[in-house]
Amino acid sequence: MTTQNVSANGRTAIGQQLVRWGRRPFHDIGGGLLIALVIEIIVFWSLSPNFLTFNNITDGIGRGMVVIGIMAVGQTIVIIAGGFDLSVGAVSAAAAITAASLSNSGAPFLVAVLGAMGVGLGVGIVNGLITGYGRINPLITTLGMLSIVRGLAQLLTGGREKVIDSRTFLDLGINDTFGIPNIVWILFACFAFFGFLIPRTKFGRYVYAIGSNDRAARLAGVRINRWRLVIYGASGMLAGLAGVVTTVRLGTAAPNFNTGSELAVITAVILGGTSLQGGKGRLLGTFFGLLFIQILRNGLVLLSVRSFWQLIAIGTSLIAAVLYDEWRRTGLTRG
Amino acid sequence: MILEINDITKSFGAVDVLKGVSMSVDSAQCYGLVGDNGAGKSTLLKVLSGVHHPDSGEIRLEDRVVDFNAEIGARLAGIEMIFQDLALCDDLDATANIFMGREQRKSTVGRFGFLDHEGMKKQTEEVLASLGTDLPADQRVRTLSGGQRQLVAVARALEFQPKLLLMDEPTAALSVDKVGVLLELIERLKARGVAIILVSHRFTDLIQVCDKVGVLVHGKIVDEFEVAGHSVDNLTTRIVRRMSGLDLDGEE
Repeated sequence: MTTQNVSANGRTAIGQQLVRWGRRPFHDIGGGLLIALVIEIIVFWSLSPNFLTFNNITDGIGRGMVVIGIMAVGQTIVIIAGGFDLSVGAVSAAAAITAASLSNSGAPFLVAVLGAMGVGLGVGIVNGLITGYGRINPLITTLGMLSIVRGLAQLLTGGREKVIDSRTFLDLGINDTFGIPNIVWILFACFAFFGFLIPRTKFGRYVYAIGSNDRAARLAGVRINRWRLVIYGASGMLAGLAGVVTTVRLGTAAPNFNTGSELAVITAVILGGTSLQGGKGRLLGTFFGLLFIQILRNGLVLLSVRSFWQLIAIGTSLIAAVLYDEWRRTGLTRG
Repeated sequence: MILEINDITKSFGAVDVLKGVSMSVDSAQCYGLVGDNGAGKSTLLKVLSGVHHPDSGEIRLEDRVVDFNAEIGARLAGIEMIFQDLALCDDLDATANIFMGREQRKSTVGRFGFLDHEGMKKQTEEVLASLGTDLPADQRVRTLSGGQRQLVAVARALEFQPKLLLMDEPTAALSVDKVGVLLELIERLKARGVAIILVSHRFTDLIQVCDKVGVLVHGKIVDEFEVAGHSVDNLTTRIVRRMSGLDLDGEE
């Protein structure tokens, strides 16, 4: 509709095409988030001299957002598919412990990482089985799984943290490539990998189809319950990787890692325009949602605001984002 | 015969929905199925399209016994179904809906491969054009009108050259002039050799396009007759009497 208005103003066809291309990536994200992001940056920039420094951008914002960012990639996929995964924080802790145990017992770095991701994949597949074949509400399933996995992690470690000996782990947390921390590259790789796959594969198409109308997808011959295993498996595997990154950053693995991180993860996804009703959303939106959350957390730290305010701010953003989404949706359907 | 079914039964718990249904459809023929709510019409179509598995009985497709254990089995065998509610994914575009479950891919490696977006879009435009519409292939189905959505569902069924097309109340969501378009389409499909089973409450529609009509009452076909050579009034009276459990001469 907008393009028609533009043509009425006498712009060329090429100009219209450029406008359309320019908008395309931001389609579904909503201009609201981008404006909020700009305002947020301006506010923290004017209040704190340390905010827009290279160090703060790569370290405070960059390194700080990797763990929730990796989990948010998986969460975006699950929510677009009409599901929900509350177990990601607990899974990341269990995966961190797995990685530390494997590494400390002499396994090579890659084996430790794959082991951790394998644990995540396993929990994810169980989530998929219960929500798909068992037809149990995903909120209940993954809430239960959160508790089970967290409990198991506590049980296996006796509630104590494991210090990691491997130099490779510690180096990965510290080293940079082209001035950007290596773990931030890992985050970018996750976004790029799934950002590439989703528009180009059956997997991506079925994620949207199942979220949009799972019955229709099933009737068309899509084996939706099998795909749910893939979808929740991917989320679990990414949570496993997030657990490895947590270990890499802190040099230890503890069963209480990332407690409550689901809140920030889900907030990033919803802020990014992914619909709670399923069928709609984009990874690029999640990336901007993630930036918003992380800049908020980082900015409040720089201003020496007590950490409790972070929780309040993130919770407020979550509710505001859902309200905005609801308003946009009903606004559309009611004309 | 394209389709022949013998003594199909299906119950859900204690409820016997189909109590031994037998019927047959030939190619280029339209079979109209009428019956009250709960007579078992939709269940019969769902058995034929692989949604439900029959408890007993035999389905023969082109003289071969078939046994579908999933929806995709029926589709691959050449049976397409257009559901009453159309069963479309509203957040996806026409192309994605038409190729749902059967996406085409370029250069696959084993089970992996990238979607062939251009190819599928082109074929969607072709099949939509053959239905006489120029609705854009890449528009979200949610934003289409009822008639356009119906066309997308029809296009999905036609894209894969079905031998048998099942239609459950296809005219229910259509305005009067669109009904005419759909009935015309059924005639064209028959001309192409497609066999059709049409379920409808609108007897006049049925009589207009169907060659044979079967009346389903409490899970059994109680009457079946050729349409040709009878007047519309005659046929309508016959259907109504049969549906209300009366004999043709008016006795119960």
